[in-house]
Amino acid sequence: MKRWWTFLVVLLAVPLVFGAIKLTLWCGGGTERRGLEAAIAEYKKIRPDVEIELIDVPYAQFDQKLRLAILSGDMPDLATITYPYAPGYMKYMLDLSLYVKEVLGITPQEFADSMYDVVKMRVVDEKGAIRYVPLHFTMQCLWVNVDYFKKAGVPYPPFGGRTEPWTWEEFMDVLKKVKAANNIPYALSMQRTAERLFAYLAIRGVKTLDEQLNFTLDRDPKAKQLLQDFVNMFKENIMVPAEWIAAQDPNMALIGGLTAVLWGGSWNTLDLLRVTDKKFAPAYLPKDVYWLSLEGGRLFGAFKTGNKTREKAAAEFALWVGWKGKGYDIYLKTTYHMSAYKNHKVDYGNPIMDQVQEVCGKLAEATPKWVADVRNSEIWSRLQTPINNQMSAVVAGQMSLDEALKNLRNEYERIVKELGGKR
Amino acid sequence: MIRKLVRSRFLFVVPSLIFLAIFVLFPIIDIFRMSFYQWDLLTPPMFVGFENFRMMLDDKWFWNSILVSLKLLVVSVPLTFFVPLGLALALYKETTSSKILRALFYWPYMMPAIAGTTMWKWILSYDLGILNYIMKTLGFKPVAWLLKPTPALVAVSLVRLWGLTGLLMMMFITGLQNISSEYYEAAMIDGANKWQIFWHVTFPLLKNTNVLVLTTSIAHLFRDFAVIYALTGGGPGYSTMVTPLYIYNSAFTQFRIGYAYAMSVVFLLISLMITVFSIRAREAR
Repeated sequence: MKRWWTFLVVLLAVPLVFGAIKLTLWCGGGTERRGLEAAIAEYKKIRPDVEIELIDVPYAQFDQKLRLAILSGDMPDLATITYPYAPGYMKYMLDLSLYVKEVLGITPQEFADSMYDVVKMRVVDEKGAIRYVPLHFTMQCLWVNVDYFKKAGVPYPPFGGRTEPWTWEEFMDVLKKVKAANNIPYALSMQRTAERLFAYLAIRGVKTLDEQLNFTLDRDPKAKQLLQDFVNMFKENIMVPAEWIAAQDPNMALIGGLTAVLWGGSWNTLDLLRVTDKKFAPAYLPKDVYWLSLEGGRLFGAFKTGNKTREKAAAEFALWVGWKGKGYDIYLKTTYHMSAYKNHKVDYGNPIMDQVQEVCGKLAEATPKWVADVRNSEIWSRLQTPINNQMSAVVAGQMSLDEALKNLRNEYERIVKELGGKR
Repeated sequence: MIRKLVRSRFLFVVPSLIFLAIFVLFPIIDIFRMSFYQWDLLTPPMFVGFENFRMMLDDKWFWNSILVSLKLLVVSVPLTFFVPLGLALALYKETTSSKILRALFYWPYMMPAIAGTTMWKWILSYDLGILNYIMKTLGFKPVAWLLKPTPALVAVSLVRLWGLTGLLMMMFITGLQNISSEYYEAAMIDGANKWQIFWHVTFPLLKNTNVLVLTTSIAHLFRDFAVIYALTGGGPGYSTMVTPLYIYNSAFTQFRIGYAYAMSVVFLLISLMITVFSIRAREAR
């Protein structure tokens, strides 16, 4: 009888001792999945005891599903999290600082300091704990149609015969010149997002939200003028109305040859490289009152699941995949995303990525702290949809700018009220 | 007692009733309950009484969305009633060509709504769409399908029609095939022409099918989300922002869950009134 008991105990203990630690990882699919798959395959060689199951969650439902998962207590061990929503999840994420020394052999401070400032402030919480690692780090930049610029005889910065960024006036002249020289219907493509509008206004010296998170567009006389200039760009066929009225994909116009410049970002690289009959190059965003860009993308973190073994394994993988020279390089080479770390050279095997890294790296260094600060707030996260809708209506001629600003003021007041303060 | 229950056949309905209670009745009751809370899915729900309903009264975009839904109802429902009816009349006889055509018309209904609508978004694009390209080639001015409020509403109605025609046509065909040929023979003997036969024989005998098609069409319209989400995103501005899309945006881009529940309650009641009114009006004829 005793022998049977021993046998039974051994039988049950074997899988517990030698069985793999199974982790679930939620990602957005597509390129992100391919990058993570490549990194996981490499990680498996180092840690054969850890099994990671990748689960695709469509982008449009990602946040909704994640919130429901947290609510039900059945969250994944690991997840990629979109920038605007990252602050809201911080309290559910493991403090990775506790594992940094053991996994990476450096201090948490060294780890955080090696990132661009605009990334660092997104991954560290107010108490200094590291809640995320960078994964899909993006910066806005311009993409130019090289042939159109050649034909117009216009140099572009920094790899097209010009070193300094354009001033805003120069930029407008360039757009008009390139449009006329190539006889194209529009000059500039830009996706309808509040983030692009924020960048446009910030470059020209207007803060959509100030450092105290006050909505300032309707109080700043310059803001109205700049917004009117923005709307005029559609009226003058500098920008493509369909992109802001009907949310038409801006890549379509650039790739289709209808525009010469895309106000996009590092994330466009892979798509634009696939185009074989046209050549595109990254360029600096223009400089006016400020020279800046907006960071974005996805962070990566491990959830507090309550299972210590899995939490440890998840934290270790998160740090491995998010650290330069380790899993991060594998991820970046597969996805053609740029690195979130300063002075981090990645051999992508494609010169265009070196250019993207340099252009976006410079923009990341130039970006003032307030740009990331104010956008790292719940208010900004909730104000984006109303801004998109209101500006779309203004561009469509359905609403006056004054009315839109009044509506945005009301939305802002409501959001602050619902949040119980400015946060 | 059990024998009595079995004999009354009530017992056989019980599993379905339990299913309905768990997956339909309780969620509906919960929607009513949660409409009195403020909730963002992360922090615990907070009871706010009638605050969500009070906010709704001041929310002009919500009332605009109701108006857009009603406009779409006026444009779209007659289209999705008469076009499938016409096709059904043309294709209800069992011939090889009609069978092939029926399958072709049904095919869009089987396509995922997002895929089909994305295709239409490309077709209707002002600058890059094939439809405007054809129009320009033929010497016509391109139409700003998705850039102006009225054409956008028409585009939404046409894409809905494209997606729904197959299903509704099949309902009509089933109804038409169930009409006994004796009625037609009698009408012809009485000297009725084709229009008279349709209006005085076919249409009245399709009464049940008409009600079914009408309610299906209205129900699809009131819960339709994917087509507008993918085709216009509610734009230009708010001109195609139907209530389900507005509720979705409030709930899942702004995480105003309690408010979205409150809007759902009001929209549910409005939809219910319209559906009952439509059926009553149809039955009264």
